[in-house]
Amino acid sequence: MFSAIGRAIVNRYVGTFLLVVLGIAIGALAFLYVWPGKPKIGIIDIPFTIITDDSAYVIGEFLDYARRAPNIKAVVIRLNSPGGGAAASEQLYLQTRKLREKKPVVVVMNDIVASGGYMMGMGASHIYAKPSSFVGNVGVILFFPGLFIPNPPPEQIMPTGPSKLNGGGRRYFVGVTDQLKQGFAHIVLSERGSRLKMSTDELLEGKIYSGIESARTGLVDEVGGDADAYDKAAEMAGISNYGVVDVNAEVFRAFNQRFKRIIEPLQDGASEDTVPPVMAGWLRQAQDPAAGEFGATPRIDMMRRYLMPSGMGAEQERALPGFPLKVNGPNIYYLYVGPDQPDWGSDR
Amino acid sequence: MWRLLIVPVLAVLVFVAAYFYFYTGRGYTAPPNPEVPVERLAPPVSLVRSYDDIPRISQGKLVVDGMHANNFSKAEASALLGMVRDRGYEVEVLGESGRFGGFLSTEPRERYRTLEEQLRGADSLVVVMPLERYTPAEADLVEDFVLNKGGRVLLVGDATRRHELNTLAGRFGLDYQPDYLFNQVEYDLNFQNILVRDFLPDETTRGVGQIALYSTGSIRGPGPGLATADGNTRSSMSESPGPFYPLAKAGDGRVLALGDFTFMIPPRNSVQDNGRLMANIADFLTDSERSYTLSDFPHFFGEEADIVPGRPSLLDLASVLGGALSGYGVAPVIRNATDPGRDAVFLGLYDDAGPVSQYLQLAGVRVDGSVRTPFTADMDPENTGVIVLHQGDGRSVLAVLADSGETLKELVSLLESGRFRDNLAGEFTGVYRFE
Repeated sequence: MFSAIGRAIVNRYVGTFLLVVLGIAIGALAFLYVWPGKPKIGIIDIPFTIITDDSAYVIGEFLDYARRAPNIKAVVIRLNSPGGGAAASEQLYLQTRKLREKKPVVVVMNDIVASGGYMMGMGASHIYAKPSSFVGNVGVILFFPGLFIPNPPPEQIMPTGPSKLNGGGRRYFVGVTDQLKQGFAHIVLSERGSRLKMSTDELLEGKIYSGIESARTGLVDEVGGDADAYDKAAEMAGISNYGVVDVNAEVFRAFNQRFKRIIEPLQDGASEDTVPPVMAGWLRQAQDPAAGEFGATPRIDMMRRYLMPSGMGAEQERALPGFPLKVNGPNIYYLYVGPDQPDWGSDR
Repeated sequence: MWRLLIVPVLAVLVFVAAYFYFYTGRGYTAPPNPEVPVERLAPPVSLVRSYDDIPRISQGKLVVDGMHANNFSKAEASALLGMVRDRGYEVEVLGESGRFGGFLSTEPRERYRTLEEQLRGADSLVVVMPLERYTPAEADLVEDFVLNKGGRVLLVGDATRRHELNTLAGRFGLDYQPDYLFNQVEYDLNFQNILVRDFLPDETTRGVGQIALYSTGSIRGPGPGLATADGNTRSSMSESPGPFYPLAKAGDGRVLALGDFTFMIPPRNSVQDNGRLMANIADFLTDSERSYTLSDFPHFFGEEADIVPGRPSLLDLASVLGGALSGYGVAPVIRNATDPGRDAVFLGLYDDAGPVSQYLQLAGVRVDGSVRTPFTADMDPENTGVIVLHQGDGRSVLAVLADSGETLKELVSLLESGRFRDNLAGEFTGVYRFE
């Protein structure tokens, strides 16, 4: 009888214990895997980068990953860029802004965040600069490769309008450049709002400011570093105990896996006759057992060209055989160039 | 059965505890994304004005320096030079153009010789951005051309191009600054394209309301400039608020200095009053009151000049001299007497000097018995020759006299070759002794 009672008691306690465990497990699993999950802050590291179509593609992948990852509740971008191509810079601004719609984005400006780099920063929810960061340089550079006084087109070329070949004369493009400058100014003025404490004329002078001056004039929100940015991102996202995700590494890992899936069938017969030379080199590295998981990781910006369908990004000679004119510019940049220009004729 | 409630209760408790462990409960509210107001961001519009140039016709010669590797092309200067030609002036571009625009360098001795020769017959000179320095001797020539001979000079710089203009401009107290002017408040399409509307009254600013300058630097001169940039205009090299002068005059008003070349290049020459300013500059260049001395032979003559031999035996020599004049574009007409309304060369022996004695007297020259000038002691007339230039009543008379036919022949030879300039006794008199 005692043994029966004892069994009942044991069963009762064991059963209760199991139910407790089950309840804890369900609560924890629901929290971790259903909603909302353990929060993380995504870290995107952008070392000194001139923004080009290629680098914007890679950074865009980082931003896109951070936007889609459900456990990333806030994003910190460590930014160091003098800007670059106009459209690529605008792309990064728009993508950062898109990310900000979903989760807070805090930018930490490092050595230099100028022009197109600064434009990208305008998409953030909050901006920190180091005291000695160089920030600003709002403006546009047009490089117009055409002749000063354009020649009429050669006889065998028949454009249908005076601007068909070049899109407009030099003065027209000067006007377009001013329009883009006003657009850049509008982005800064509307994003910074009442926080900006300088006139539009001052802003458009294109000066580059120290981090301290940037904070004083409202080009950035505060002077601070990475730790401040993590705290601010957590505060804005409403999270207190968080982990961090290296977004760069995650994107490279995903890209590497994708690369392997595509490339593995080629690996056995890879030679410079069957694949482009650069890719053949990567394949040789990939077959090197000492290289490890990331040993053969190709540069994403270079890789994507080889993963594109045939014909995209082709050279002009292949795309337009026999066409007598060179397809080029005008090139528009949001770019900080720097003061050292020895051959500008200032020696007169 | 109540034990079964443990599961949901604990699950909720764990969930809530975890939630408040990881989350503060304050959610993130995204800020609104500003729209791009495309309607408000129209490109700036430039004011284009047509200017009907009514040229005032005159005669003369404009020389354009292209021997100092000048940093411009003929096509870029075509609008201004076309206006000068429209006014009846001959335009002579010195030097050789390079393949890619701009001019090639000329060897310095050849350059000096050409400049000296060309300035003798020129009324005005244009110097646009020389990449090679003007030597002191070349600057002397230009200074003499302006200050002593009434020639006019246009100096043109541009902030976007290198030049050595100050090696010449400095002679007239002008200094091109190594800066560029800009205005962020009001401009034509770009902040470097400044608008200027403050002008001093002058022949070059007559009727000019507002001009657009595209890459102008500032010019410092002995006084205020012809044009002053407004208070919002700043210099790339100066923190001071100005005033900055993109146009200036010096050299008794006969040297005009421009800080910008680009405004003259089509289509910028039709923006604002740029066309009017260029027409005024063309008037300035074609309105010189050039004076000549004997060394400028034969450029002090007009299109025609009479050659009057003092005796029939000198007809052959008159023909030789006529050939020399033709080489300079002066049509010779051989006559037996001077016409008071026409330019003339009188060719004769000392005994024939009667028709030009009044001019000799005015010059203080005597050729009777002995040869005497205000600049030389009495000379034995044997193997001597004298050249005297008289200018007055709108004509030039050149008296070429010698003691004999042989000596006169040698004297004409000196005139032809230009070596007569080696023995000038004064600005209007030359005395020569032949061995």
